[in-house]
Amino acid sequence: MKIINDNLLFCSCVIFISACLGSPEKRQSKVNLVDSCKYIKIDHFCVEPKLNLEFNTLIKSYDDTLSLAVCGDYVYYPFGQLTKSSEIATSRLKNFKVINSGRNGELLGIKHNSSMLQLCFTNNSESVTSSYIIGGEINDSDVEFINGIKIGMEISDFYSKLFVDFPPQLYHNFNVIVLESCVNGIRHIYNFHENKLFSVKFECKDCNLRIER
Amino acid sequence: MTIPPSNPRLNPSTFGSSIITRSFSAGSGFRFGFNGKEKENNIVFNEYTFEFRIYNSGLAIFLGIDPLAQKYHMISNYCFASNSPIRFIDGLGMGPGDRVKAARTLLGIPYLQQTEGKAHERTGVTPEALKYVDCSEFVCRVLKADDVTTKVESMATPELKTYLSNKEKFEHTAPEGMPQVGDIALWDGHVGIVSALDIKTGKFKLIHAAGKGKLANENKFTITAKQYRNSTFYGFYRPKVETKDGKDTNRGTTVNNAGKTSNIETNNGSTGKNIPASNDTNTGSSNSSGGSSGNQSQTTQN
Repeated sequence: MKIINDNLLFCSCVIFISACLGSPEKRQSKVNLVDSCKYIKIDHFCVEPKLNLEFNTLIKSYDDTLSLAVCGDYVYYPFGQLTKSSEIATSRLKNFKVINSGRNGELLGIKHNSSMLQLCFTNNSESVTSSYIIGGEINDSDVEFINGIKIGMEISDFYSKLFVDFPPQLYHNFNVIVLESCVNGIRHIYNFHENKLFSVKFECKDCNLRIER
Repeated sequence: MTIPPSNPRLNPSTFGSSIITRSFSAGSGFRFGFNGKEKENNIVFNEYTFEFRIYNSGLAIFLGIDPLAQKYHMISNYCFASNSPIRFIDGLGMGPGDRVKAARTLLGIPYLQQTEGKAHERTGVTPEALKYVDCSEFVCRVLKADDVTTKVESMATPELKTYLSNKEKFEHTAPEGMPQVGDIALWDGHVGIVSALDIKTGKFKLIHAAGKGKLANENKFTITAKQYRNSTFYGFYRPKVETKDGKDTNRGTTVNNAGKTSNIETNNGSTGKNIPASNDTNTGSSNSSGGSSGNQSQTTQN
C-alpha cells in the first residue's frame, strides 16, 4: 500500500512539475511579437512597408490621403537610375520624346502621349543624386515604373508593390497615396479613381529649376 | 557658464547645488545665486526662481513643466539644460547654436558651384557672392559666422576634411557614432550642418546646399548619413572649444542690401533649457529663412 502511495505521489509530482514547465511555453507560443519599428499603424491595423522602400515616417493617413516619407531608391529613380540624358533611349522612358531642354542639356522636358516629365541631370560631385525628376505627370498605361506600378492597375495590386500584406479593410480608405523622399523634397502623388490608378504626379519642393512648357 | 572657483559667493556644482565643503554667507540683501537667479529658501532649500518656473538645484530639476514642452517633447519636461549643463547652459553660454542659426540664414539660396573665374565669389560677402552657394561654401560661411574661422575660407570638401582633421582644434565622432546638434557632417563630396537629431536612432537633420537645381534647405526628416548620400561618410566634427553663442550670425552669411531676411529662432534661455533647435524633430522646413525660395526659382527656356 505504501509503495502505491509513493508511486501516486511521485506521479503527481511529475505531472505537477511538467505542467508548471509546460504551460509558459504554451502561453508564449500564442504571443505574436510585433516589431513596432517596422510597422505603421493605420486605423488600428499594423501595415508593414516593403524593406526596399526604406520607410521613414508616416506623414498623414486621414481624409482619403496616405502620405509616407521613404528613403529607398524608388522614390528618387521611379523609372530606374539615369546618369545622363542619352540613357533615356534605353530606359523605361524610351517612348518619351525630348520636347525641350535648358542649361546645355542639364534640364530635359520629355513627353509621351499625355505623359510628361521634367528631368535634371547633374555631373556635379556634390549633388546627392545624379539625376532627379523636377516635375511631371504620368497618365498613360504603357509607362511602367521600375517596381511594376502602372496606370490602370488595381489599388490592391498597387499596395502589394509597396507593402507586405496590406489589410484589405483599408483598400478603399485612400484615393491619394503620396510618397515623399527623405531628402531633396521629391513627391510622387498617386491618384486613384474607382480603385484604379488614374494618374501619378511628380513634384520637387526644393528644386529651383523649371523648364517652361 | 564657467564660474571662477575663486569667487567666494558662488561655488555651485554643475547643476547648481551647494558644495558641502564650501560655505558662503550672503551679505545683507544679496539674494542671487546659480545662473544669477534669485535663490528661494522659503519652501525647500536650494531653489532658484527662473523667469518661467522654479528650479531645485539639489534635485537638478525644475518643479514646473517646461512652457515649451510640446516643442521639446523628446526629453523630460522637467530637466535642466537637457541634463547636460556643461554642454547646454543658458542664453549666454558657449555652444554650437550659432552654427545652426547661421546655417538657417542661408536657407533658400540656390546651389551653384562657383569655380575658376568666379572662385572669389565663394568667399565674398557681396550680393553677387551670396547669390549662390555650394555645400562646402555653405559650411565655410557658417564656420566664419560662428567665429571658428576668421574669414570665409575657400575650401572644397577635400580641404574641409584636412582642416577638420586637426585634432587640436576639432573633435571627431566616427560615422557610426552619435552626432550633436551643430556638428559638421562630412561625406566624400558633401558637407552640411546637423540641426536636429533623434537620440534613439542617431538619425539626424541636416542644413545643407543639396546640389544643382536645389535650394539650400533644412531636411524635413531625420535620416541616416547613408540616406543623405551614398558615398564615404567621414563622420561628425565640432570645435573642441566652442565660441560664445549669441553672435551676430548674419556676418558672412547675409548682406544688408541683398534683400534677404532672416528668421532666426531665439534661444530658450528663460526656461533654462538652452538647446538651440536641438533634438527638435519639428523644426523642419518651417524654419526656412531667406523667405525667397519663390523669388529665386529660375526659369530656363530653350
